[in-house]
Amino acid sequence: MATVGAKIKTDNQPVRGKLRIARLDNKTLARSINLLDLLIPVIVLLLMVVVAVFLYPYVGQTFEYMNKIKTTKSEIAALETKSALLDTIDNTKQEKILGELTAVLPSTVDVSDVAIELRDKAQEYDLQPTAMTLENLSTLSISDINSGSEISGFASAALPATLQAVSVSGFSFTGKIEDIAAFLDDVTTTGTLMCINDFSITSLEQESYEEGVQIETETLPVGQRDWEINIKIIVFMMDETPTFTIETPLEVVDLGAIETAIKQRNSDN
Amino acid sequence: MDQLPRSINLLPPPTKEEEQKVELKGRVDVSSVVAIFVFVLLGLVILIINLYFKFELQKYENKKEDLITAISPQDDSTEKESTGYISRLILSKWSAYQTIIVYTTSDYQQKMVLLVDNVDTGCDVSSFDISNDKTFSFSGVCDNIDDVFEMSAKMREQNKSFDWISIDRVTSRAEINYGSESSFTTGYEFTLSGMFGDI
Repeated sequence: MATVGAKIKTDNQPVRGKLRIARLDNKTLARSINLLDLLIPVIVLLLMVVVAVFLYPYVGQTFEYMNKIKTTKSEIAALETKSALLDTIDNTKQEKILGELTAVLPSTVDVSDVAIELRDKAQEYDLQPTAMTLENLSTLSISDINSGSEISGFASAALPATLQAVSVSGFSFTGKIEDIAAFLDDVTTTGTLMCINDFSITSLEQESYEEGVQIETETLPVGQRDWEINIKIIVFMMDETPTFTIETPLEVVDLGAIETAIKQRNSDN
Repeated sequence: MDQLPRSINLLPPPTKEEEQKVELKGRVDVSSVVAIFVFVLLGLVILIINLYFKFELQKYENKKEDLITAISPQDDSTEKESTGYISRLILSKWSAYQTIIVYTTSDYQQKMVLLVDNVDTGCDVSSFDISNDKTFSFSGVCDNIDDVFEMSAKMREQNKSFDWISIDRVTSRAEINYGSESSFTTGYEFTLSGMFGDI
């Protein structure tokens, strides 16, 4: 009997050789695969699959934990930096500076206070108020300011979103031209943050005097005559409510520089 | 008695392969057991590592919570007197102040002095108009038309003080002499405009 692949010699072979070949053929037949032979490999394979399926989520979870640890470590570092910074801040000094800064850039504007401030300043420069009618009061948004319809020069200003301004006209003063110019400088460089809209200074060139029964007029030189100025004031205000979370970093604020700048601005007040 | 014939072993001796097979038949195949053992060990290692990182994460999260609890009273968005709140408010107002101040400082004294100084002695100015964007104009009367042009030329020469100067209007001002029924020029009304430079 022969199996596939087995070599069968011809009848020329001696009997002994033939018997050997026959026995080998039988053993070849006996070596064909049966289920018992496959049992252990199949069990091992099944176990491998079960273990892999069971362990796979844990592998993913481990990487997730590692990423979360990395993120949490950086959050802790940021919180520690913030904690150290908060410990160095003198809150009493902060509150004082905030008060001074709010006086310069208030949250709301009381127009009557502005009028009083202007009148007091005008008196310092020997200017006579001829009108304080507080006309055309309006609240301006950033787009109003940038558009140039109320005041020029702010077209390219990158103003903060919470900024507003109050526009009020009806202020008139008379005085010498140098005094008017000094008054305008004082208004825009000290005290509450405000600027002067486009304005006109008109000469009150004639000075009348009586000579006998005739009233004569004389044209005075530019520097000696009185001038009248009509101005519209733009007063800035900012009602800010900071929104932040505990994770939001805190920036370092140079309280010394702010205090110096505000003191300088208020030094003439 | 005759000897029995010698027996002949018709079965040939086993070959080398048959001997090897008999040798192996009794043995146990341990490769499968080792494979199972290795996989179980691997699984245990993975589980242990997973637990280790889980506890590490818990430790860091606890530390973060402790820090948040410590910082919260000082940096509370609902507490207007907290240090962090005031600090942020100062920062936003200061930033706004620094932006606006650039557009409001005017130096009017210097500008007015500059304009007045450039008014020709033969001219009289009746009004100055000044805008926040550094443009200006002024109007008046000059005795001679040349005075208007000389005044304009003098200001143009001062490149640093003025970016540009322009004569917007020059018109003669005439008075009528009713007696002689003639008119004569008493002066030239003008309007000059320009823009201040970096003064």
